[in-house]
Amino acid sequence: MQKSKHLSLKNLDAQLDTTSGKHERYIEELRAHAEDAGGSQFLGDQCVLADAFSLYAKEARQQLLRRTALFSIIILLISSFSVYFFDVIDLGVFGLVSVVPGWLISIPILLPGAAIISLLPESLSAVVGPFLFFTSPLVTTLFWGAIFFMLQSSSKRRPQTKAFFLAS
Amino acid sequence: MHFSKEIMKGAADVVVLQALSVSKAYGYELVSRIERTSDGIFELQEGTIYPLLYRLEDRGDVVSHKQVTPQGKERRYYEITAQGKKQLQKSVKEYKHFVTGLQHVLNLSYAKI
Repeated sequence: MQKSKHLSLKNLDAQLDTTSGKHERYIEELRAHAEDAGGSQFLGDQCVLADAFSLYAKEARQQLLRRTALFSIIILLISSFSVYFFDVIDLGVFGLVSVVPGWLISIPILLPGAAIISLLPESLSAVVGPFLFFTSPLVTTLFWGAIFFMLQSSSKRRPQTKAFFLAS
Repeated sequence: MHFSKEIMKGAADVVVLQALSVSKAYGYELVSRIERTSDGIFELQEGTIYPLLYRLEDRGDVVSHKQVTPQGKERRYYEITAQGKKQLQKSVKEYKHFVTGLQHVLNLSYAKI
């Protein structure tokens, strides 16, 4: 098996690609095929590899979700700090260091939000403005979390990415 | 015998649908049937047959269900649908025409040599 392991894995990877969404069924049928073929050594090896690949894919999916959750929590903390503690922070050097990162990551949300609010009538913007401001950490977290997830899962260089989509 | 992917790409659909038009079959049975009826010319690998069956199923040309074989093993059987039969008729007509043309061209080439 060692000799052909790399080639088999490459073949299997390509085959799993073409059976996207049905790879568990494919593995099951591959196993049955190996049994029908009289316990073919090659097909048996493929099944072992396929099982390993499947387990790896599940682990990779969990890893990606864990990383995204961790990243989102950090973003939520940074952006919340800037929004909710802005009034109580002494804007000295340390104060700025603590709030500027939050401002920067909130720019993609706050700028379009401010532009929209400026277009609203004054009576409406007085209500919507504070609401958007105070919910902006959550929106910022969702925004950056989604980008992080997409970048992580679309990178072709990360093998776990492919495994993630194969497992889903 | 192994053919290049390009040659087998279109033909494999017709071969599989034709083999299923006889009766339903599971993967290994289907591969064996095709090999037997083609006098060993078509040897479809498991890496070809299953993705192809999934594609045909997605297209609605075949359906599948699990069933216990006469040997007592549970296998997924594939069956051609009415749509698959229509597609097969159309493809067979096209292929026969294509093969006739190909034979003419190949004979012409031999005649020149």
